[in-house]
Amino acid sequence: MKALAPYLKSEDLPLFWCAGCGNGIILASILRTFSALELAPKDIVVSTGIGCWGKADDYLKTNSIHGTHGRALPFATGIKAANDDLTVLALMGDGDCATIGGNHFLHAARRNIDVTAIVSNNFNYGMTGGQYSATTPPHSYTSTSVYGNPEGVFDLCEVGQAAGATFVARGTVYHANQLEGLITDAVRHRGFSLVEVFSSCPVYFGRYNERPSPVEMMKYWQSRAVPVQRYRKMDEDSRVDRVPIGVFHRDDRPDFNTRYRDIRARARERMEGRG
Amino acid sequence: MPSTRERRFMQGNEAVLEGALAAGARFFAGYPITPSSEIAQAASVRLPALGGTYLQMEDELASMAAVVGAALAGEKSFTATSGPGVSLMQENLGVAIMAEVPCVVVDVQRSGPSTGLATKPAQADTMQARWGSHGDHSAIVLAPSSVQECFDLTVRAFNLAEQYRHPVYLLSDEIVGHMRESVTLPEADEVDIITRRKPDVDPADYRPHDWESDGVTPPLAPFGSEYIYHANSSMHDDTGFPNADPENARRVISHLHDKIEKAVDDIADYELVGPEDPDVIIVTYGCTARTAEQLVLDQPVNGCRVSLLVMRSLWPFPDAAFAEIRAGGIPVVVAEMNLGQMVREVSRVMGPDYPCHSLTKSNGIPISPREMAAFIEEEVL
Amino acid sequence: MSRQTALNKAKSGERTEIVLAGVGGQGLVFIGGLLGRAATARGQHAVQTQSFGVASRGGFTKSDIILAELPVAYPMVTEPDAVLALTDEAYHRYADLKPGALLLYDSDNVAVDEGAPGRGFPFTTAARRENLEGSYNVLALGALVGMTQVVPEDAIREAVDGPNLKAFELGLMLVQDERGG
Repeated sequence: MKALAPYLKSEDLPLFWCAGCGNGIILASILRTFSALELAPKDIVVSTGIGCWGKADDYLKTNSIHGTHGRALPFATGIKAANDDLTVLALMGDGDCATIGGNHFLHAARRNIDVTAIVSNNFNYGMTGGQYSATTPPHSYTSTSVYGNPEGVFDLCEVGQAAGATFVARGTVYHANQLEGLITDAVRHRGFSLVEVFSSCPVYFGRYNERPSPVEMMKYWQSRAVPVQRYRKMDEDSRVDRVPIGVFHRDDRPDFNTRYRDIRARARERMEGRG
Repeated sequence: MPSTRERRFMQGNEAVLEGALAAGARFFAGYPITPSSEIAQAASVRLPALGGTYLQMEDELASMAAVVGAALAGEKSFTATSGPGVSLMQENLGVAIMAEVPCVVVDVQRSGPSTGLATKPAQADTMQARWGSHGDHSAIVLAPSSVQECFDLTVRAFNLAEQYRHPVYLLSDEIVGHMRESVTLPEADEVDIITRRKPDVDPADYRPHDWESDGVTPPLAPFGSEYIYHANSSMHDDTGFPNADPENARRVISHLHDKIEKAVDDIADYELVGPEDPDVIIVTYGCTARTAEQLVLDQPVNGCRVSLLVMRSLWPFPDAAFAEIRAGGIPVVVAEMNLGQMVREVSRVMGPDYPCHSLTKSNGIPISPREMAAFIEEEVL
Repeated sequence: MSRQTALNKAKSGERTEIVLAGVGGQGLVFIGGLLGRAATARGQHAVQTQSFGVASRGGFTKSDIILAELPVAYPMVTEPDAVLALTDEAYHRYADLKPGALLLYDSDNVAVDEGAPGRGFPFTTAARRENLEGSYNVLALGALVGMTQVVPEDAIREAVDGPNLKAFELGLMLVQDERGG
């Protein structure tokens, strides 16, 4: 706890999230990453969206911008493009990242801006009363899909990788130690990095889908999650009801700021050439 | 008038970019839209050579967010768009208002509603610029009517943004943005610019919204300095952290509104052109001011002496300018390329019985001097 | 001194209105810009506006230029003093000019009846003969400047070089017998 003191507004504890919510575990993993990487709070900017997870910055002693629903990534993009020395994180829920901000997610990945997106995916809109989002599984129940969800889902990791993210990983709030490692690797990665975290919302998603206790939600992730290396070797039948976790993808394509440095050099040459 | 400076033949949109660079802007984020795209294009050429950044975002929501982000990172930042883009930017313009982030939004107006008469001129964003974005707030809106003013008012827009820590609109239009004119641009050292103030308190004591002990605009530290802080779209206190106390909310909302409205005398920029004892005064702004100027040159118009009150700032509304006219009892014609937006404000100041006439046009074609003269003859005399 | 104060001092709004009309891709905005820059360099005031359709190439296009000794107020052309028409459509749009105004057209592109208004010259043929098709627009500008003297010829010469300069001189020569005074 002491090591987290420079980053955590401990005077505001306990956390305001519901009992059994996964957000506290994700927040702690992020703080441990800051500490492990010995980042100075002044060099960190956390951009948050709107929703339960969007209020995470209330506990942070780093810089932060609490913006609008779905737009955490474009705020973060402007910040990182303007000052490359900053370590910039965007904290989003599944509503923020996969749904209203889906377009920004695609383009941040394509642009390969050096920002770490940490998505708390609890499969529904918690703050507004448990409505379905773009990650709510088909046929599951929410306050706006009481007859079952008629829509399909985004697999954020697959979408992110297809769009050009250069670091893609998934963890769960049950696998807390692994989660810290994933977040640390993501923050250290130069380029757009995504850590999707399967989280728990016992009050809404759990209650609607017969997993109303925090323990049941944790057990759910414990029993379903499979390391990605193993998952890739499994056949179709054994993959049913299993989700892969771990690092899915990593490459060293140059990030936006590195490429833009070349643009600046070319522009200067061209202008000087003109005399 | 310094005569050594270079005279140039330049487009309004190009002059906006020159003004932005002269004001110290080094960050642009935007999304292409006619009739504003020349600003983005010029920014993409010039900014990287100056060590600045041109970001072409995926839409106007993202553009406005990136502009706010860059401003928080310490840059003077701006975007350029047209009415449809402004509609999308209103969401994050609200963040700039609430978190008191200086930046500039250039709106080169085109005809609407929606895609409208793409991309013919209009002045129908007059109220969108004032009221767009939800919640109580005020607005600073400047309106150039010439290429020279595109330069001068862009510089001023950046200065006002810094002075009041508020997003400032440059409300241009298709005619002013696309026309080319002879201009004289000042040398870099002749341009008065306001540089962002840095805090000098102990970092532990820095409160980014402490306007009560530090005047209208407490300094805004760039992210990455010793001064760590939260920029917040939610209701916050002077620390930037959320505060839902009703008394705090009242203070903050009043402050965001009053810091602009009470500064109207400082912000207001208007000029009476023509005879001091006219028979009619045309009140207008932007491209339509050029039509009225023609009448001032050609007068008397049908035997009538015409003056022009040209508004270079639209918001906060300069009531005082109209109170003066009101005392003289001279009829006014408010001319604009919309169905009558600014005339509502003028009528509010003048009162219900004052001879205040509304000349409007909303078909994508500018009001010609002949039409304006005919209106005066038929409606005023 | 603000622009409006300058206008207050103006005694008259005398101005020369020129329309450059044709089809998208002919370079009408470019030669309008040349006129504007030349006038500006000589201390005059110039305003240029343009109108074009959806396509960057093809479709009726025009570039309007107003020149004056004092700041130009209304920036749109109302009664042209001179029109350069490079297509049949452009010609017919402007066939009915005010008395004394010049309608200069490319006789290779415009079919006119005997006694129709305007002065036609074979700009297309002339440009092709000298391999100056790429500078066709500047050739036509040369003819317009030669006929009207709206800006000094040297002011354009200072603003162009290479094939454009050759084309400008060729345009001037085409009309040299027609030039009044």
